[in-house]
Amino acid sequence: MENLVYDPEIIEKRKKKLVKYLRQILCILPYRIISLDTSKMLLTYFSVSGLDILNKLDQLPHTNQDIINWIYNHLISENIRGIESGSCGFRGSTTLVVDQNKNVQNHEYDCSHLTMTFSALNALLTLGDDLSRLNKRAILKSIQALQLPDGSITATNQDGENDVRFLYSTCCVCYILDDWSYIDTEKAFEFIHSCLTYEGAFGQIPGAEAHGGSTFCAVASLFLMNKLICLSDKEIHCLKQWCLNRQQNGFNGRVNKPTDSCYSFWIGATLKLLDILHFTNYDDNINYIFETFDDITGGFSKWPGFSPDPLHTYMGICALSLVNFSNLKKIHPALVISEDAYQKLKIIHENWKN
Amino acid sequence: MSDSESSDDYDSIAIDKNEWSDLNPINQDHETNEICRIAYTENFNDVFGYFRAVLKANEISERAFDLTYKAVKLNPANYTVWFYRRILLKELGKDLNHELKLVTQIIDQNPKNYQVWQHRRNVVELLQDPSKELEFTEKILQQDSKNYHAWQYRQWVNKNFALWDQELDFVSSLITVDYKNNSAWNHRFFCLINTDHSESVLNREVDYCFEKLNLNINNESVWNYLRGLVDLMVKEGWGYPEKVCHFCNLKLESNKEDELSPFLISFKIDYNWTRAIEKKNSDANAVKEFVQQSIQYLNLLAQKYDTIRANYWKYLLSKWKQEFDQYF
Repeated sequence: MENLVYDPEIIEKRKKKLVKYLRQILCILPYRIISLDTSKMLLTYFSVSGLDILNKLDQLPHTNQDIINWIYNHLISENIRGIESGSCGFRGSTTLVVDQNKNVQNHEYDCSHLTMTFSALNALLTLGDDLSRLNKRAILKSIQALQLPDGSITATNQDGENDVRFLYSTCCVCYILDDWSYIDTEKAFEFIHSCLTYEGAFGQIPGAEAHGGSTFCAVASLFLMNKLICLSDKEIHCLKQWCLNRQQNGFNGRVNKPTDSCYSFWIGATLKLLDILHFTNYDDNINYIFETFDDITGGFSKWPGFSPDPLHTYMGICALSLVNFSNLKKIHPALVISEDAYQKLKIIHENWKN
Repeated sequence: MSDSESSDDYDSIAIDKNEWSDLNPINQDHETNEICRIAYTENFNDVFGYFRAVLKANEISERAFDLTYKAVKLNPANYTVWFYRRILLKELGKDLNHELKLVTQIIDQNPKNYQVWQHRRNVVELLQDPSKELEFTEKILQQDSKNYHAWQYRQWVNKNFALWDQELDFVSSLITVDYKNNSAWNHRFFCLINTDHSESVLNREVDYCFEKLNLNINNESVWNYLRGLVDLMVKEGWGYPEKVCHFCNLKLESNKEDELSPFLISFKIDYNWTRAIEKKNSDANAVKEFVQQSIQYLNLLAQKYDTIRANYWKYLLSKWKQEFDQYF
């Protein structure tokens, strides 16, 4: 029996539905996703980059410049009292903005969030912005203030968690801004290394269970810092086997847990960075991802029959790109933007050097 | 009233505008609301309209404190609201035990939200009272035995307050209920590392693994745990435990279809590699045996017992051939 997943007509239909789903994110969202109110920047990145990878950036529901301006409205470039408080960078939304001038910290509790800074930069690159409106030094000085003695980094200056996710966001930001001098990369490595468990992969903090999401964050961070070579041969071997063992048909994120489509990305990208993705079974993976595709809304969900959401939709698209499905754009497996966007970044880096 | 607000909650989160007559709410800028626009309810706009005003004025008051409750009920993921609430908790000298009860309720309703667990941690740190914490995490784990936040939080309680006595019994009971609960196995290792991991304890743990593997040989959790134990024993200088070799060989030699777990096989292959490298220039016969057995097992994995990873097993085969070419 034919596998319809590879049928060109079906692929076109599904792409159209995915485009519709992604466009909708940039327009209006239902109240029931209110818990994402402070993460609109992340959603914008998912939508813009998702469309880019699908080769449909021309179908944005707003102009590139409108979205770029919206993004820059979230940038805090100046602290309120002129002293370093770790607040510069991008906000996730303007929910707590009170003034017309959005690029200055509006009040003591107005702050950026590292994952939103990372998301903003990725979206800007994808949209073709040259990053010239950034106050790089302000952002990097804030990040410096957020690094803790053990090498980990908090997402905000508001008592937030300090796990490996934010070290990942930080590494992406430093890589994009092409400046590693504001963080202690040795200590960062030590923290990441301390997150290795007896299972051979990484937990979110030292002692926590080895997990696909944290493993991606750890490995991508090491990749961006050029410190993957600091892991021993044995550590790399165990890490590779743990990651490969996550494939059931799709992938799970922890040992003996059910599969979830987003791990096709978290584990897939990790395997790509370790240069062993080609040891996995592409067909089983692709088939599983599409089992989670919702024909009515046009998005991907974690499990077949579950409600789709922006995260799983974007991760699904990225996971398909990694295994060369259809003619999706290739992605940078650590930064998680299209190769095109990555090339634009390289040009920006050249310009900065001159 | 939209269908996303239940009638039970509505009264507790509605704003009494008379109470706020002296302060103007601040609306969210329309322009910046054009992209990723959420269909906020009127009540949400009211609550956050006043909250924005409170932040701007840096107001420290009872009504501000109540407002933060309304705001976190509407969106428990807004970390700034929680942060401001903690400031008010301190400035107003609020009852932290009452706050603990409140955060218990909110975690119950939102067990996978990062901010609520962080808030609980902050409150317990201020209280310096961990007496309810193990019981609380146990209750959450009863609802979902693999809740990552609950386990991470429990580990913080164990370490921060040096509360280890109950842990071994706790994980053992969870493993008895579900021997594939990897979170429980991870916690077991965590407790081991932070308490007694003497040779006799580790030997006991190895026996515990055998017991669970005899129930189900194909349990990845146990194989990973066993490997962790073995690595620890070697690192401590007690050498590779003979009984582990013996156990693996026994299972492999029994040759029963359902006994040949891919985890057992790859565990043996990894062991063979380490020994073969060790003895490469000293014991040709032993190395030859390791090589032949590993080649046989790698083919079995690729062709029969773990075909989804066939490409990987074939790659390992080429690595063996490359390293030990003189034995072919």
